[in-house]
Amino acid sequence: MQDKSKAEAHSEQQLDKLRDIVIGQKLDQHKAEIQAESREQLAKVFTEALHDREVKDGSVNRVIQPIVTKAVEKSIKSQRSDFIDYLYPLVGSLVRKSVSVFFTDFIEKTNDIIENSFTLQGMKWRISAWRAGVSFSEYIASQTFLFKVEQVLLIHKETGALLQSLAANKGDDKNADLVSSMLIAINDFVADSFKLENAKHDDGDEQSLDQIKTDDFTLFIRKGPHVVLVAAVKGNMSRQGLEQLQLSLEQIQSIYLADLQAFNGDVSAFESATGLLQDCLLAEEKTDQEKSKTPVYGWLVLSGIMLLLAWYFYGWWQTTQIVNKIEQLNPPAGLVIQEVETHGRYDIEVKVFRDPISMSSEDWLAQNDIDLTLLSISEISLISLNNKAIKLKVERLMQAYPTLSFDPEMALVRGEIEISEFQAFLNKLNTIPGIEQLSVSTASVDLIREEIDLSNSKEVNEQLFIQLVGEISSVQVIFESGEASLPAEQSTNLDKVAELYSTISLLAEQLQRSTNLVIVGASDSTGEKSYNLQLSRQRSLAVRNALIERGLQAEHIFAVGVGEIDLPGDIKSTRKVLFNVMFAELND
Amino acid sequence: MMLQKKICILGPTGVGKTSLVKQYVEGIFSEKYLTSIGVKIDKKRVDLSPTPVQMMLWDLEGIDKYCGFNPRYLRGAAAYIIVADQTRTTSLSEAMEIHSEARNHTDVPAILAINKSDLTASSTWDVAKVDAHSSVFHKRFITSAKSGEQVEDMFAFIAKTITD
Repeated sequence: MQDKSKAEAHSEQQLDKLRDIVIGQKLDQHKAEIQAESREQLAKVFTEALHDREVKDGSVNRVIQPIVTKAVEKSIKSQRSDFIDYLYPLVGSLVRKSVSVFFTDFIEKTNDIIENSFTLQGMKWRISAWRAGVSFSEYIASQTFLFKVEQVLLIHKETGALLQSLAANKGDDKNADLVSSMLIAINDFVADSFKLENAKHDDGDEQSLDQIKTDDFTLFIRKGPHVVLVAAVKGNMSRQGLEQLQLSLEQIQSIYLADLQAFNGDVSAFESATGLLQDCLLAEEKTDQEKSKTPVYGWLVLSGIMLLLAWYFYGWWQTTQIVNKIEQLNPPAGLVIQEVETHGRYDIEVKVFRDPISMSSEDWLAQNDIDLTLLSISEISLISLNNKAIKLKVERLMQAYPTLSFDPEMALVRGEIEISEFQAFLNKLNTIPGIEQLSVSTASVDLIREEIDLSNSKEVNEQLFIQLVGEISSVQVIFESGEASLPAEQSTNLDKVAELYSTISLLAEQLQRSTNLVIVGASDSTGEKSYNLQLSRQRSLAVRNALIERGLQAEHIFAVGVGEIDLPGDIKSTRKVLFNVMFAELND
Repeated sequence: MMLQKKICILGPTGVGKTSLVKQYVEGIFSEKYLTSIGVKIDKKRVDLSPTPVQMMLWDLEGIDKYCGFNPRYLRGAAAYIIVADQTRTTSLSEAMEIHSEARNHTDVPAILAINKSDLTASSTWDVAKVDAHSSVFHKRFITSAKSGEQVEDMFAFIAKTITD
């Protein structure tokens, strides 16, 4: 055994020596040459080889994908900031582009719809399309485009099998497989029917169809050794279009050569050919077409929408402005804004509390330039105790008494008036709610003594006598708390009493009656009873003296004090002096 | 994945080629595909496992002694069917002529379809002769385009044969 292995080693050494002698010095040179040649050869078929291997077992993708993924991951990790710098401007421009594409698309589509539907030209086209028996969209395409490749078919030349197809409009390639077979059959028919007498039976001399023209379409047929590329074109195909068709055919023929040679009916290998077919789906718009560069109608619609939106939001803004304005207004006396509610655009509800004395809510809002058509006003009535409202009510009362005037600043009534009328005025004044807040002074009112026309008629005099007796009883002189001196503002009342009693005395004479005026003083229950009794007497005496000063005869005037009157409620109401006329018939 | 295969149907005039195809494809494709160029093309998908196949059926116009057929139509065919009519004895010899002409252009599997099995065979119809001729075919089917007898079987057989 050992001898055998020794012999082998020896022969190996011998071979090495022989190699050295034959190619020793040229080995490196050979290697370099082979390397250069391989590179050149590989470059020639590199793309095709990649494709063939990918088609064969899909291994190229599987091998390259993880390598690329890792390379990208590594790059991102190591050059994070660089990637951010690369991507940052891209993201911005992507968003801008996407928005701009959306708007452009929207404008152009809208423009097309309007232009093709509502314009005179659109109507004409619609009628022409109807007359030609084609769909409106097809007709538009025929009018708008110089040419448009509607569909591309890639057909296996020998079998007529459809390898791949692509249509400009999805769904247009439903029967593409049948059409493909028919095209090949037609081509075979032509080749058979028009063959030249001296033609050989090979493909090179065969008559074949390059083009089939119908009313609507032209089919451009380009043949390679194994495939036929057919483009269904509307309009007149440009030279560039035909060149592109030829170029795509050559590329397909070259890339898919192996698949085509071994074609057994399996079309899945040609799925990736759509990219190359896509290059053939060309279209060129008519340049002489008076198709304005600016999509006017689209812009009009967009402007319309923008205007509508602006109008809508302006409405809201205006509504808000009106609400703010109303809320900031200073309402007049007797009017209180409870709430201003917005129910919608130009739909405002104003809820107010309003005293009947106050101006109407509508007038007030109109005065402040508020458009009433935008409002609904709901009012709730109230009695206002606002001083201004009370003054307004006094002013309104004054309108019935033209001889009197009212100074709202001083709360002072001036002028002259007959006593009876004045009494009626006072009664009405006192019915105004909250009037006591104003402390209205009537001290400046001059009372006119009424001329009593004493009639000779006993019944009339009797009637008047009873009336005046009643009237004098209604007069009250009110004192301040603990005071027995006459308040200045009570002077009018005393004048009235003196006037009334003088008239009563005159009537009593006519009616043969004797009369006496009883003055009853009273006090409230504040303080000692004995003091209050004293105070009530002093008050009635003060009134008696004042009446005597006004010309009444002392012997007919009697002053009494009844002390305190303990009434519930306002104690002021008992700090007063009352009057009563006691009379008797003289002949009794 | 789906295979596309071309099948040609040939035979003398009036043997029922078009009716056979119509029976098979259930008349989905109307006469509009019957063109004056001498061929009518239909398609039928057969869901074979694992690979479905779509057969493009090239129904060639009736062939008689005055009018041959365009051999180009046979190009790329995966198989072809020669149809004869058992009610017309001469159709068998015509069919055999067509077959030998076809063989000049292609060597794909050829199927013999003896059609109109729903009718009584011609008195001169020689079964022994038919059997003798059948040997040059891949397989023979006795079909009826009217009743559908063996039509489906025949196309299913072809689909299987061409995909194996």
